Amino acid sequence: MNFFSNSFLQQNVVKKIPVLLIMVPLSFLTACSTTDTEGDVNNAAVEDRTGGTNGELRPGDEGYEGQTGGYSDSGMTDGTAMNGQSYSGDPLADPNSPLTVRTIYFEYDSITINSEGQSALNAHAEYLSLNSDKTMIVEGHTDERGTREYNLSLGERRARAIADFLTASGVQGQQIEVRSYGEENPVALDHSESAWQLNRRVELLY
Amino acid sequence: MQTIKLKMKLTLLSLIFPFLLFLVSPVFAVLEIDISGGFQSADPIAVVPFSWSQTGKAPVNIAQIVISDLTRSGVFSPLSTNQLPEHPKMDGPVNLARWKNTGAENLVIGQIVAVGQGRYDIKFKMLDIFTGRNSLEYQYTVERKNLRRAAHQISDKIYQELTHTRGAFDTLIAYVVVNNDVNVKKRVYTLAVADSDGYGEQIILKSRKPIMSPSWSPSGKRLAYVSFEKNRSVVYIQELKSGQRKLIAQFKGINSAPVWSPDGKRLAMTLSKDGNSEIYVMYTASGVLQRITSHYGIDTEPSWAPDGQSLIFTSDRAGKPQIYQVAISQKGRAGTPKRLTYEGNYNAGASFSPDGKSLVFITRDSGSFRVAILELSTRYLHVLTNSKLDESPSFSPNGKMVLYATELRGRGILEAIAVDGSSSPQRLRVLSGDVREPAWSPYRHR
Repeated sequence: MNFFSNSFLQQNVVKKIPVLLIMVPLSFLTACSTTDTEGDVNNAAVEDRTGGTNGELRPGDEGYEGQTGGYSDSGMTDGTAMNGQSYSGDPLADPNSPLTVRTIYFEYDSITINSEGQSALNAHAEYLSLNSDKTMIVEGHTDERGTREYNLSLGERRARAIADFLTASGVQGQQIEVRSYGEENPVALDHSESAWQLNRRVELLY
Repeated sequence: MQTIKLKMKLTLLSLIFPFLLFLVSPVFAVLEIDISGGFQSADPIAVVPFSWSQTGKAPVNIAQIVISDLTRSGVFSPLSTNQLPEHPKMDGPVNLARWKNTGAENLVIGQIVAVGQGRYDIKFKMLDIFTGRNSLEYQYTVERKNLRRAAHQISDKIYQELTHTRGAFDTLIAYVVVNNDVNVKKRVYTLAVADSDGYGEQIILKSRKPIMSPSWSPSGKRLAYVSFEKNRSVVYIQELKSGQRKLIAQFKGINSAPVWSPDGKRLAMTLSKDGNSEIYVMYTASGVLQRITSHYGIDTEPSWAPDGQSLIFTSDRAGKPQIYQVAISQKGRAGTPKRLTYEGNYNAGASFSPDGKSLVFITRDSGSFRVAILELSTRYLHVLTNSKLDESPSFSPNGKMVLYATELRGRGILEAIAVDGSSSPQRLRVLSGDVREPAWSPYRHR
């Protein structure tokens, strides 16, 4: 997106605010419905899904991926097809596949992947190895305790631990992109240990 | 056909404006100040309502702004209106005997005169109640929009005269407001700047994605900050007056924690482009980068020493986050990092006091994250706060106060506290949502 200068951008932002108001909701639609070859459109679509699969869902909601207790996938019951998508033969869409586990949880200030996480990651590693055209964003998050900048780095370290696990299991490095939101994108907003458990996580985004 | 065209246009626009700036309800992020608790050993001072040249109310209550500034400092305890024995005029007589009974040592008298074309003359003087002499006398001519600022400058003059330290009332604070919606998609982040008392908020950036770590340039004219509008952390520099901004760092991985060097030419920041979080220094004009740290642990949160010859930063190279210092030569070469904190197992987010003699940072203290000050010469660590989830502390430009973010009954608020612990914290909160990531501006140029 280097074809416009920043000053151009800024001036237009100021003038076009009313236009943007209308545009923003529509841009989501167009971003989702149009080509995937444009970098930013692609990003928008991916981010959209982040919100869709994680932000809105809470324990008990259909499609909630995780772990009412925080660490197991026992909360996954039958028939929770992701976002109502119909099962089309792709294992990613199979509600009974271990690939439905898309969130790995961590202990405080830790990057250690627990055994539930490892078994889910083994399934993802196998899938990615067999489907070398598929890519995954590995997005690290922390709870709110401590400083924001340290947590941003900690989130990246968590995501990198997952990425390293996947590449050690045969996934190509190019298939994985590591990102961190630190403590900036909590899924649970309380200031309690139960909320913190849900927020210390890495999300696997296809 | 028409709709297809429109759709294409919108698609094009969404490409040009990939970050989602928009408007929400206008009365959203106004800061409210709440001075809680009393102040020990504050000096009584009398500030009389300023006389006004016309009928009705003056456009701004200068005396009230001065009173609340002086109260917030924790150093002064202004008399309440019913304690004032009389309301003397700028050129009128003062009955000193009556003032001596109030306990106040100083008396501030002033006037505001409309001089036409939207301009105002403000005059004030301060009298020593015991000698009857004028210790201060100033006059300002200002436009209406600068009336509050003139009041803060009056507070600064009074503060400096009586404490021999420069006042920091005529300064700004930057902060981030978020309407912490459960739904990630409905969250709105606002980077804003307001006067040090929370008035006069100006919005710098609105985004659907997190904004963090605003940092003032030494001139006070620009902010560097971290935005996730590209779905990952990148660093922008934005000029406040024009709103023009420049994307300064979008390397692979984390781009974060920007802080300006005291000479305003370099930006220290955290980048993970070479594998994990390391400290770098960038010359903002040329984009030339110098790598400062090299360690497999996390190195982040750089902050410059006031002399520009070293950086402090957070590192967990010894297992847990602690504060380190690294010398930076004239040519930008880094020395060997030296550990500064040993007390406790979590010390992070440090910055220097303006005189370079102490650090403020977040320490974990009996399970809570609190603001602490480390006296560098004595290694004395003083925990300033009693709260649970403090973050992002920064000194006022005169080094007398610390501003930080904390949590109160589930809400993110800002607090300011006197460094010497003489006052209880004063709170700044938003009407709805959370406020966080405060940064106190440098002194303003007049």
